[in-house]
Amino acid sequence: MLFRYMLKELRNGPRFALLFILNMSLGLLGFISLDALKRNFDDRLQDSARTLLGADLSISARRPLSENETKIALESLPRGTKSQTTVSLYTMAATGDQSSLVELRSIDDPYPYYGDIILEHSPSHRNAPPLSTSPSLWIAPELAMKLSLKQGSEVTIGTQKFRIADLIKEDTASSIGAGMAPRIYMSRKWLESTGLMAKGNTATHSMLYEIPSEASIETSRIALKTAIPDASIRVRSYQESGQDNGRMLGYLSDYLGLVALVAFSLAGIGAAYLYRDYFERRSSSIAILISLGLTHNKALLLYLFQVCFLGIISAIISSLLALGLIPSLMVLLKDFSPVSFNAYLPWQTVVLAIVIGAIGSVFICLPMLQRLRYLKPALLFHEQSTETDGLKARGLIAYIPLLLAFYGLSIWQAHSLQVGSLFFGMSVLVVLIFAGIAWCFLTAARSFSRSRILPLRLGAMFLRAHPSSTLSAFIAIGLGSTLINLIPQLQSSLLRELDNPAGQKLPSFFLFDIQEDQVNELQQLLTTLNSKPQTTSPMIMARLTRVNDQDFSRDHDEKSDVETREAEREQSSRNRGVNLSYRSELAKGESIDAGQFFKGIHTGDSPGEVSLETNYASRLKIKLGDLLTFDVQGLEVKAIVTSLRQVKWNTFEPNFFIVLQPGIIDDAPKTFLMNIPDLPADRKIPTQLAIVKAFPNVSVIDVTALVAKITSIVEQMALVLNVMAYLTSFTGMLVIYSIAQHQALARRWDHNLLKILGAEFPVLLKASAIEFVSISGLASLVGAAIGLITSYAIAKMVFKGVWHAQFALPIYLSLGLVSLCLVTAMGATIRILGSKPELQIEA
Amino acid sequence: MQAQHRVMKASIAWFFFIFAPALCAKPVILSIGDSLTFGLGVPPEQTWPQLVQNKLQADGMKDAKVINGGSSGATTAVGLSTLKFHLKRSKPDLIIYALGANDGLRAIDTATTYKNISQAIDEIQKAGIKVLLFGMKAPPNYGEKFPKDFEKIYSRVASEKKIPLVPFFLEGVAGDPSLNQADGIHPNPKGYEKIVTKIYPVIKGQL
Repeated sequence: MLFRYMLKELRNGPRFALLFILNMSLGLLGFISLDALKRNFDDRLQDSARTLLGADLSISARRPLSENETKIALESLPRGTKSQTTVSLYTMAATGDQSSLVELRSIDDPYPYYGDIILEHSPSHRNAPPLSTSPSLWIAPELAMKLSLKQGSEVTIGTQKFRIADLIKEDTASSIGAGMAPRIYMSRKWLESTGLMAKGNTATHSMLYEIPSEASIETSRIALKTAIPDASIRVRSYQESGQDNGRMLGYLSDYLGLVALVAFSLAGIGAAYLYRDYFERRSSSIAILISLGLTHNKALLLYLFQVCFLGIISAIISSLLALGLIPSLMVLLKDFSPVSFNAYLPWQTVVLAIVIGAIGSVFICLPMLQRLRYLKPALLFHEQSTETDGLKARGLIAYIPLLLAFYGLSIWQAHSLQVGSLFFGMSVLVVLIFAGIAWCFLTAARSFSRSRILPLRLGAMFLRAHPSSTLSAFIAIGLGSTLINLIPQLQSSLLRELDNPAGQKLPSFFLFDIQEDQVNELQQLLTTLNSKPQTTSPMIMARLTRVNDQDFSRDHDEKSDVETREAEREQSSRNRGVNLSYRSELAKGESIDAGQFFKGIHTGDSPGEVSLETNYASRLKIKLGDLLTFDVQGLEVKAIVTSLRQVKWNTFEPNFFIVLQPGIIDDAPKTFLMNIPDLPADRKIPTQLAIVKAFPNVSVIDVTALVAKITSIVEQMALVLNVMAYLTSFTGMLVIYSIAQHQALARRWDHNLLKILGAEFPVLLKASAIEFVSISGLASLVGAAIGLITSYAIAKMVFKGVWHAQFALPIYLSLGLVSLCLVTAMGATIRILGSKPELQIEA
Repeated sequence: MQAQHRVMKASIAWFFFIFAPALCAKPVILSIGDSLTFGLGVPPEQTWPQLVQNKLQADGMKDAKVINGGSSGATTAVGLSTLKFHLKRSKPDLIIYALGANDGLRAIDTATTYKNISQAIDEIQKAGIKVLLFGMKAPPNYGEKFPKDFEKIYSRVASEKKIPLVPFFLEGVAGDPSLNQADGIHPNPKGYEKIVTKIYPVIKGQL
């Protein structure tokens, strides 16, 4: 009965039902697409991170793990966990008179659980003959070049001869970070026969674990850490293995959460606006029903059911649309992305959409629907509804479920209490600001209602004739504008963080341990090799002994006894020593967060100046003005922290956490670091060999693979940022379109009445244009400004100050929004004015 | 030019100020080394130079000072410049040369390592300062030839320059997990105590 009546009600208001479903579907489509994309990107990034470790979890130690330890470790992990052993060590590979340092990794089948080793003669090592069948190796090409080896050559490792089974083309399973020497793979079966594992060896023994997909990695990691309390055993999850990009991955995750929230909020704004209007128009019909005997509670139930039904229909429609949209989106992305995406709609997203569609719609409409319980048939005899103070108070209470649900969703989608709370708090504040501005706007419109210019007078009259409608349209457009502006501003800020400085070239080699008297000779050699270092940085090893005259070797906040693995690591890290550098100006990719960079060269006996990287300073709880004491070669050096720097680590330049003012320690014993940019592949190995031959103490690390891997991850991140920003803007525009369309249609009664009274078509059109341009123009501009301010606040609080605003963007977006509202409203007005007025009034 | 002059003046003043206590101390020992001398991962008071200084002072040499000239990651290549830096400012009674572990770990050509150590010892002897050489070994996982060649460097230099040698600085500590940190390379405080019990008599014998 209730269902039948609900359908009848919807049939009576087909335009509302259609617009509500269209709006919710569009909003939810944006939400679903973004959520599906986010899950896809998340999966891709998680997969990338997994390949860095080659497993979900690992334990490793510089000693063999006992049988008991490996048993306890496996027992602590979920049932079905697979494990394998690897042993890594540095050793010498020899052939004839020549030998070279190599990083040997001895492995079991099937190594690794994630990732692949692509060989010269095999697209994957999994298809190649296993290394366990005979003493054989896969070797890095630089070793082959250095020792003149090829497939089938013999090489000696320890006391065992090995045959080169293949050359490594690409090692996707290699851990991020460049090794000191070329890598070779051997089966663990042959390791003992090399005689390398005698007492005193420096091999690293690891167990790799593949956890069943349904189990939580974090829970497993904690269980593993608890089961193995020995601090000499390192427990790592794949999420910890790619820390170079950790900060950006964290930012990206927060950003995606915000985007999903924005999409949802846009849908909510549209739905709330439409329902408000619909409910006001249906009030009289409901009052009639109540006067005919329908109880208030049944009336409430009827409309709740109706809203819920519309929400579910919208979710189903948007899921069906998303099923078609997502694969095309993924195909499109394939052309732009270095990685492939899975074109699927995760079931979790569909369930989420239905739940949000149903419950979200109810919560959004509840503040209007609660009025039903107090609706009196006497309303039929009133021109306009009258609200008592009691009703207003109850109306405010009805917002509580919506606010709580929105708050919960904010935290859930942002994966962070801080980000979620920030977003929620700002949303509430922004609504209040818009309500205040809208009220001022309506008051200001009064002065135009006596204007001699007829279209202006009519426009002001339209605005003031339906104050609640104007108010809600203004708030909805303004909020939409805020959100549409917010995401591209954050996108632009994060993209700047990912960008390399202009003119920056990616390095091929890092050179370290260059002695002071070798710098010029090395530069000359590089010139003869047709190359040139991009940067040359001095590096001085020191110990940070005191901060503000307090001993730094122990954390004074911790208990003095080393009780936990973390406490031991913390104490050890405080005593690892620090690398100092000095220079008079900021490096490329550095910017000052707080304080001032050095004022000239230090002279005199007073403490000099020191600049710290912001996150490093915060980790050590050091702030501006603190006095640091270093021990440099037994000598005490004091310096005051005068600046905190933001360092872009993806510039691939030698970066330092601590930079001293020139003149303090310039003559201390030091080595130099150099990076050599962009060498063509065919010149890399000859250059490397020439440097090592001329300067045997200088270590040359080929960072090409590392740089390529990080660059690829950065490209993926940039792609995510761009796609999400465009999709959000598109979703927002669609919601604004539906609001403008509905607002224009809501004026049909006024327009037709004026038409019957003799108003001319152009005058009505101008009046309508004035109304919409003023609402959308002011709301868009204020929204753009608030979006800009909000992006600054979020950037400062969530993205650690990464904020690079695009000031032209708000202007373009505001113009776009105003044009959209104007065109939509004009289109609707022309349609209304073109139809027969009697019909419109009768309807 | 003027700025350079100012820097030089300030550096001289500053280093005299810093070195004043060291100049008054007797005996002064300078230890030049790498992370094993620096004491990577342990507090300064538990490094071997500090433990040796404590022992000397406890043995009645109340003004004894052991300067920790260790730098993590240092190879023998940096030995000469470190030496020159210190010798410009003071003349210690004894220099302990404890570099080479990183040459071994990075498998630097043994001829280069020999040349670096040899030049540094020449420089010390030219300055008329006693020197004690701490020998190192390359880990067994570096095969047979390289560790043997590497180990020989120290005995060769010691015999050529006629200087005392502690054949293996980490004797009895390397390879024992209970005496090393989690990295299996750097001694823990217990490891340093054991090292000092072995090297202290040799050092004291040189004073």
